[in-house]
Amino acid sequence: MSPLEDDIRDALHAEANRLREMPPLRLEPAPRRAGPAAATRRGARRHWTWLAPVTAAALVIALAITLVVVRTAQNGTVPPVAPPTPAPTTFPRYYVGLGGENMDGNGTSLIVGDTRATRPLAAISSPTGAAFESTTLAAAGDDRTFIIAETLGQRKPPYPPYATTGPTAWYQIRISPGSANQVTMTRLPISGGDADLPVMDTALSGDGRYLAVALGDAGTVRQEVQVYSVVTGQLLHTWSMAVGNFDTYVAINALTWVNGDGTVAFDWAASHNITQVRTLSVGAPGTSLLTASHLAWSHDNPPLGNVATSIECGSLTITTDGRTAMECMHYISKTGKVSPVEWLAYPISASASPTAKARVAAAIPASPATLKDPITTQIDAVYVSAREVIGYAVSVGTRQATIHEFIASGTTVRQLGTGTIPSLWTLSWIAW
Amino acid sequence: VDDTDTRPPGAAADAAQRHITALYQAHALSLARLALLMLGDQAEAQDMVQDAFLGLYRRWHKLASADAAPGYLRTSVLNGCRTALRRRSRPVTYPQDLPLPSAEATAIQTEEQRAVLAAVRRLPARQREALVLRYYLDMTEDQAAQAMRVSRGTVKSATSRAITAVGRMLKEES
Repeated sequence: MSPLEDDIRDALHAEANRLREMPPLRLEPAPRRAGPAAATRRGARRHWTWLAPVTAAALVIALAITLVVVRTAQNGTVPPVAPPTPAPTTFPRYYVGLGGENMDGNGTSLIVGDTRATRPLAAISSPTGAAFESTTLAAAGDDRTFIIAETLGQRKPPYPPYATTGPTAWYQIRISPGSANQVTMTRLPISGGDADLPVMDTALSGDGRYLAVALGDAGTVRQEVQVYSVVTGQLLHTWSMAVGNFDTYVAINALTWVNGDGTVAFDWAASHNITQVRTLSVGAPGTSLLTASHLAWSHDNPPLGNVATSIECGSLTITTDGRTAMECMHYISKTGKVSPVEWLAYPISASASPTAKARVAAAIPASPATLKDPITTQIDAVYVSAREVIGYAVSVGTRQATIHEFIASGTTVRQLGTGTIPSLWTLSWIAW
Repeated sequence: VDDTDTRPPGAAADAAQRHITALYQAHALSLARLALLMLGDQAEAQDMVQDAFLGLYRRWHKLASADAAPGYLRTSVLNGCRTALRRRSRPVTYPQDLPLPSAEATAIQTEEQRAVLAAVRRLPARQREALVLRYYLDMTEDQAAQAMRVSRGTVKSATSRAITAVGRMLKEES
């Protein structure tokens, strides 16, 4: 353990020890504290702590009757996928969400849905009883094709240890609106990965034919980027690098297919202060991740300045044309002011570093008039380009969450529509 | 809103109360400390724990086993903290913004610890949660992944990024 980790441990324990006693137990709801802010927080909190497990269980029961046929594909028999799609102009309609654990702490399920329907299309339990891995969930560009993998993770309530390992089985999920089997899940001929290499991120090419997987982290001996053929299951390429100690830890994140699905982009921390976007041509020779990949863009992490609390709104990524690095900024300042959600566009140049200051591709005001319920739990993008962002803001209901879909360009925000998804406590991860 | 009161009746309720009171004496303070680290607010942390116990009381008879109760409570508190943080429209309170600490508390927290805590509170919620689970509760990565409902890789990534950010903030402050 590093000295900094020791300091963090000591500071957390010192802070926790400030709390020395608890008031007597009340087994009846207490009257709300005076003041509107306290009342709002308390009401919301009780509601969710109490309802979340009930909601999750009810949803699973309600959907248990939905029949999803799980097929096993032989090499070359994976259903064809739609051709590459142009840049979207509307919000994707279909989604696959990864269900959280139930109250016993075991089991996960997939929820396949249509944001325009009041009930999800299907709930799918793991065919083998293993857990689905959140980092393997990815979507193709046709709004109908998704992918996910199981791991050998074992979950036994109520306490760990739980073993989590690399992927063991990959599945393709297809949505066919209007057909007899609206949702099908096919086990792909992709072989399981290295049991010692956890998946960090996954990206499905726009046409759904190729799968890129980033594996390994600080606890492993190496990191890898692998590319598979979804149709044949063949491992087409593997690039790897040795992993050093924790201080030189680099995590591969934000895998993205760019340049017409010929290149995989990813971001990683080259050092504590430098974030890079690197690109990897699918045809790149060699097996060294660093040698084969190209440094596309790099910047020093900006000083935190007035930021009190960062709010997550998306990773640093690269647009599908490979020409722009995009970063989302959203924070609460030290004076308590909530910033707009801004997507910053950095043009990528041959010099592999920002040559121009970031331009605001899109900005959502802190209290957007065009989006209902501005106090949302999350704002995120499903598509970014140098000029516009298609995204959603979520407001949480008791059983469902409402998504307010928008397209934003500069300071212009236009609402595309609203949809519903299961509550965020039911869905821990979602792919559009 | 399905807020049906499912408290057990009669003798069963008495037994449930005894169990839950014992659980409260054993676990409430540690759970409140966990919530305090997540939220930075003592009163809110105590409320969170009270709510978790009330929720447990209401569904006691649905619990598969009394052994599952501590796990339920911790999950409930963590879920409540996440919801509170998502809905929070004000900044996290810094230790220095709290009422003046007692002499004892002052003695316990060094300047360095206060700086580390201030940095931890500036982290995104998920990164802060990863640090609290790993370095306060001493969970393994697998245990933290289970508690956070994410993969082990995500825990590793969040923890690494959090430590990196804390180090950077400390450097900037110095």
